[in-house]
Order: sequence, then structure tokens, then C-alpha cells
Amino acid sequence: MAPKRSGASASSAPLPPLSIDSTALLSDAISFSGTYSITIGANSVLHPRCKLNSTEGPIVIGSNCIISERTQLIAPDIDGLVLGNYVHVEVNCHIQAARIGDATSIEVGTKLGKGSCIGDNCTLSPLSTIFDVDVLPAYTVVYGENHRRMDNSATAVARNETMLAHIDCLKKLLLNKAEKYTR
Amino acid sequence: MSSFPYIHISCPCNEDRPQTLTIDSARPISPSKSPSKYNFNFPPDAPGSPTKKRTLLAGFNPSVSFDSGNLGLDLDDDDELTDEDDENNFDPRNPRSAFSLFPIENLLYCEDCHQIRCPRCVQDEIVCWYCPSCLFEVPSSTVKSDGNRCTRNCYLCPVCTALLAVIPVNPSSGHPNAHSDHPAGPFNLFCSHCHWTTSDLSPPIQLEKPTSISAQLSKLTPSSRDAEFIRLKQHYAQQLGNAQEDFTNSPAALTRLMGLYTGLGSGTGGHGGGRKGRGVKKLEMKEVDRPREINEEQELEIVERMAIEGLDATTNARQRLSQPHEPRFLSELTPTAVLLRTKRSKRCRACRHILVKPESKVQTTRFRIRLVALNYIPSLTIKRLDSSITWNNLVPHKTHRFLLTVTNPLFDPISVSLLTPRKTPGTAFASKVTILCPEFEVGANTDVWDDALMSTKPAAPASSGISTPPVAGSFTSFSKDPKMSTVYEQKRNYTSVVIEVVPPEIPDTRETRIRDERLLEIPIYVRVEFEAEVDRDDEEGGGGKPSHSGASGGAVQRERVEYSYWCVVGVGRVGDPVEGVVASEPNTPVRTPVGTPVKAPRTPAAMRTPLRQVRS
Repeated sequence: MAPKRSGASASSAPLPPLSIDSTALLSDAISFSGTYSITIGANSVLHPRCKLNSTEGPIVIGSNCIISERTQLIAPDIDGLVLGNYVHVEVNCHIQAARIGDATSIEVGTKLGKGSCIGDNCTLSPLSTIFDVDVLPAYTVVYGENHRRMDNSATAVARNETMLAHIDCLKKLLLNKAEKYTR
Repeated sequence: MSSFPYIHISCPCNEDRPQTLTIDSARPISPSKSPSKYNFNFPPDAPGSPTKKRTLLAGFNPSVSFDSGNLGLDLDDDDELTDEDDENNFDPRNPRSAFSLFPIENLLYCEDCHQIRCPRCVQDEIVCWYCPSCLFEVPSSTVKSDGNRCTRNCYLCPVCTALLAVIPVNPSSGHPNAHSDHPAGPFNLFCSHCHWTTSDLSPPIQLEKPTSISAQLSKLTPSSRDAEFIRLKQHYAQQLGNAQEDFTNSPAALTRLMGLYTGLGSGTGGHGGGRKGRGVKKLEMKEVDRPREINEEQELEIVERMAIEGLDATTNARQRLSQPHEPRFLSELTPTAVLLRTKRSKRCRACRHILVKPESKVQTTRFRIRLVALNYIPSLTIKRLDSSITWNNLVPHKTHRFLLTVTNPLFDPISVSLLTPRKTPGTAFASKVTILCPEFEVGANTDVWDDALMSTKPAAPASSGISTPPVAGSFTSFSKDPKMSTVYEQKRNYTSVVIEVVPPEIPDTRETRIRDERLLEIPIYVRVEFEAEVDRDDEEGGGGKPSHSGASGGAVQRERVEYSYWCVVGVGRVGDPVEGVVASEPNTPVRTPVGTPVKAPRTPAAMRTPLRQVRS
């Protein structure tokens, strides 16, 4: 089969300027769009069919992050979208946040409003919604019907370890097509 | 309110009638005590083909017999004929009928009584208790002694009710192998959903072992409530021990019990003077007469603490009520053990036959017996014929056309009659309802491939809408207009007919009254007739039937079976009147008689067909 460029939009439009760390893993069929730069840090994993849109601003993904499939990362404005390290974004999220802190876990189907700001070590339980320009302080857990509580469990270190194990596992399972996007 | 449209079927337990009738209905009933007089229609069968009634709703009788409760009487006078038009009809708005209306999925079917059975008329029996989290079966003796919660390692988060996991407090870093094999140190219960841990409690709970959590927790959280419970249990055990001999069979037990309730827990013995004549005054049952104490200082402490920690530190009502000690603060919440669940079998209350029996093994979800009504009675569905109709906003005076589909789950073709009052009963704002083809056939629920594989299709009686034209008095007035009385669609095992509804203008009464007058519910009487093979029980138990034993050996016995039941179709809500749509007759020429047949037929006793079996 002839190698296809990722995604329908990417095949026609030129890719945005990408700076991808050599240890990052980019799967097939990732859709990059926009004109601002997209930076992907060391050891991060992007699943197939995740979408990164840098039309409005740059996107920066830190190291040891996982971006799952069908998740959209959209830079909200010229200041861009910045993901910290150890950020886990689950399936089907719609993210227009301005900043997501380190070791934050964003679970299935979460919507982050435009320009919202998520602190370090936060956990957003499945299908939670953060409104535009909302600020979550560090160690916040959003659960249930937008209930919030502070995370005192001191499990951040352990969760980072599991993240690393998870990434190691994904690196064995997923095919790395990073060179396809950097050509 | 459920979303529109919905179809609810009325369980016959709505009728207040003696259960013996339903028991007997399983066998052929001798003509003398036949319930057939309650059936509204008597197909004037030829003498050779009488019908065996299995009337699901036997009480399709004039109102007078509903009220009298004496089903054998008052049936053959004609004076109720004047007002029975209204009273015979099933009124979905009647407060009593609401209890018997269920979606067909919730109904069971008793094969022996030939009756629909709703959750009200089945009896539950617990097959086993199990924990839904660890799927371990708990013997019922343990449930009695230890309570209805999992006594193993299953605990729920008190904050968000997710399952808690056991994690070490100090994650050993660096050596993943080391800490996966032998996790060291104290352990926490950790909620992976909201990240609550037992360390969040005000005296943090830390477990020494990752196993047998219940035993460890019960040591670590000695609550005053438990002590209270033990005290109460002791008290009542003592009371019961004193009264043990009385509880066997003596009338004194009743007096004691009454003393318990009339004494309101005081237990002083001032009442009960009626028994003074006895030589030995027995100890009466006593409540523990200690009211719940509220310590003012404690309460003030709580108020102060609230002032300091703020509302965020307090529990919400659900969290508070789910815990036995009703904690006010989040730091006082304790992990709750998972509630056990049960597998239940269900029995028919009338004939004690089992209707539902799950496999007793916890891990399997199969059923040994499952007699759901969906497999026995034809089900109705309704949809819009015109997609511009909005269910929640029906236009007054406009003719709304819906498609009523009857699906046949049986392996025999059935003939169906749908009867509905011309005007919806029970309201001052009656809507006009017309079923365009009230009598039709529905094909058998055969294998999907049967039709394709069969070279010659059986002659489908689809073309003529009325394939079994009844000749009974109440049906003679049906229009024979071929255009009107054809079915809309007929497929393998379902048939669709058109139903027209013209709602009137109805004032919005939701604000002022409990009852929603704008709710449009149509009662439909479904009568099903088919020829079925005689089941063995019927044949043997038939005492009162005329003998035909000569030919019972060879040919397959078939008999006509008749079912009937009421169902209620929730079509929607009538909206505000729309300009331009004025009161008018339906677009189609109204055939007045269509609505009318819901009227108890006055069949002379001579016409009643003796119940006999038919050979075919």
C-alpha cells in the first residue's frame, strides 16, 4: 500500500513546523494542522488519530506525556497550549486549555474550555468539563458532578512511575512513524 | 414522566378478583362456572369449533361487577347499558390503574395460569447472596450473623462511592521488582477515582497487611455506634429469651406485642391491667428507653469546627446518610463495605410456579427459567407516520397519524383485534381516536430464512385487512370500506396499522393540578386469537369438557386460544392551539363505529359457547 500522509487534511495542507524529540513516539495517522509550531518533548507517546491544531497558536507537549486517540489538542490563542511533563490525556478529550501542569491526568471524554488553566498533579475524572478561562489549582481532583477536592494521597510519585511503565509498554506495542512527520 | 411515546400493558392484577379464577383458568372450565361471561366478545363459532378462552384480562365486564366484588352476580341486567360505555373502558388516569401499568419488558408470563404477571404479582425468593465486587457467594447464615455487607476486602470510597484499592503508603522507589513482590510497610485504602485515601481521615487509618481488611478495619475504627448496637442486640435477645415460650403459640404473645406498641417504650407496666387476674404477671416486652442524647457542648464544638474548616470540610447528605455514624465532617468518613446483592427467583403468586430462576452460580448470568411476557404476548410499538409530529407538542384539532405495530412472538399466526374507545376516557377533554384497521392478522414468528427457503409461500391473508370477520353483535357495524380497513404494512411477524388521533384544545393544568390534562394516553384493548397445539396439561386436566377421547391418539390437537389485555399508549402531550388549525373532523371520513365496540356485549346465555377442544 502506498504510504499515505497522515489524515485527510494533512495530506493536502502543509504540516505546521514540527520539532519532535528523537525519543518521542508518533503513531500513524496523526493529524497536524495549523501554522504555528508544535513541539513534542522526550519520551512522549502520541496515539494514532489524535489531532493537534495549531491554527491559533503554538502547541508544546512536555516529556513523558501520553496523548490518546481521537483527542483534540487545540491551541486557544497566540500564547498557545502548553502541556507539562507526565501529562496523560485519555481518549476523546477536547482540549483548548492554555496550560496543563505536570503529572496531570485527564481522563476519557473530558472537555477543557478555551483558555482554562490546569495546575500540577490534577486529576479530571471521565466526562468532566472545565469551563472557559477556569483555573484549577494544583492537586485538584474533579469528580462526580463537577465536585472538586484536594488530592492529599501523595501518590504523585507512584503515578509518574506507572506513567513511565505505561510509556515503555506503548513503545513496544505502537509503531513509531515519527520520521514520517519530520521529513 | 417517561419520554414519549411509551406503551404500558395493564397487568390483570389491576382487577380485584379472586385468585381462584386465575388458577382455574389453566384448565378447561366447565361451562357452568366459566369466566367467559366476562369476555366482551363471543365469536359465534360454528358448533364444531368452539373457543377456549385464555383471557388475560378477564374482568372486561361492566362496572357493576367491579364494585360489587361478587363476580358471579349482577351481570345480566340491562340497565347499566346506558352508562357502561365509559365505565367499561380502562381508564389510564384512574389512580388505581397506574399501579398495574408496566412496560412489556417488566412483565413476566405464567404458563400455567396463562396470565401476565407484573412485579406486584410475583413473589421473590433469594437464590444466593453475593458480593458484586469480588463475586464471592455469601451463605445466608453469614448474612444473618454478619450483616449484608461484604466481609472480605471490598470497600467503597465514602466520598465518591468508587471501589477502593490497597496501596502501600510509602511507594518503594527504584526497585519495581522488590515492591511488586513484597509490598512493605503500612497500607492505605486508595480511591483511584477521586484519590481519597484512608490517610485523609483525622486519625489516619493505616493497615499493616494488604489482606483481611475487614478484620483490621473493625479493630481500627471502634465506633460508639457499634457498641450501641451490641447493647441493643443484647437487650432484645434478653427480651426474646424471656418471652421465648410465649412466642410459640400463646395469645399472650399478642398482648405483649401490643404492650410494646401501646406502651411507647416506657415499659412501666401501668397498662395491661386486663391481665391482672393471672397469678404470674409476665414480663412485658420493653423497648430500650433511652432517647438519643444530644450533648450541647458537642454540638457547639461541631459548630465551631464548621466555622473554622468551612463548608468544604463537611459531608453532604448522601455521604452522611450512607454511614451508620452520620459523620458531619469529611475527615470522619470511614470506608464502607460493599453491599451484597442477591439473585432471586420469582414465583407466580397464584399458582406458585417458578417464572424466573437464575443459575445459582454467581459468575454466570444465565437463567434456567425465564418466562418473560415478551415471548408470549404480542407487543405493540408506535411511531409517527408524519415526521413533523412532535411528541411533546401535539397540535389541537389536527389529525395526527401514528403507526401502530403489533409484533407476534409466537410460532403461530395470530389474529388481532385492537379496540379503543372513540374518545379517550377519564378526562373532560377527550381526544378522538380512530384505528383505521382494527382487525388484522399477524404472521407467525418463524425463522427468518423459512420464507426464503420455502418454495411456495403460504397464502398470506394480508390483502384483506379483515381476514377473520367477526359476526358478533358488537362488531357487525364495522365499516367494510376496503380503502379504510387495510393494514399499512405486513411483514413476517408484524403488522402495522394506522391510528388517527385528534386532540382537542386543552388548558395547561400542570401548574394548578397534579394531573396533567394535556397528557394524551390512549387505552387500547388488544385481543389475540390463534390456534395452538394443545399442551399436555390441558388435555389431562380437562374434567368438564365434553369427551372426544376417540381421536386423541393420532392427529395433533389444536385449539383456538384467545388472549386479551389492555394497554395504554402514551402518545404525547397536547400543545398550545395553533392558528389556522380549527376544529374539524379528521381528514379521513370518520367511521363512527370504529371506536364504539368497547362495550360489554350482552350475549344471551344461550349463545355462550361451551368450551370444547377442537381437532383440526
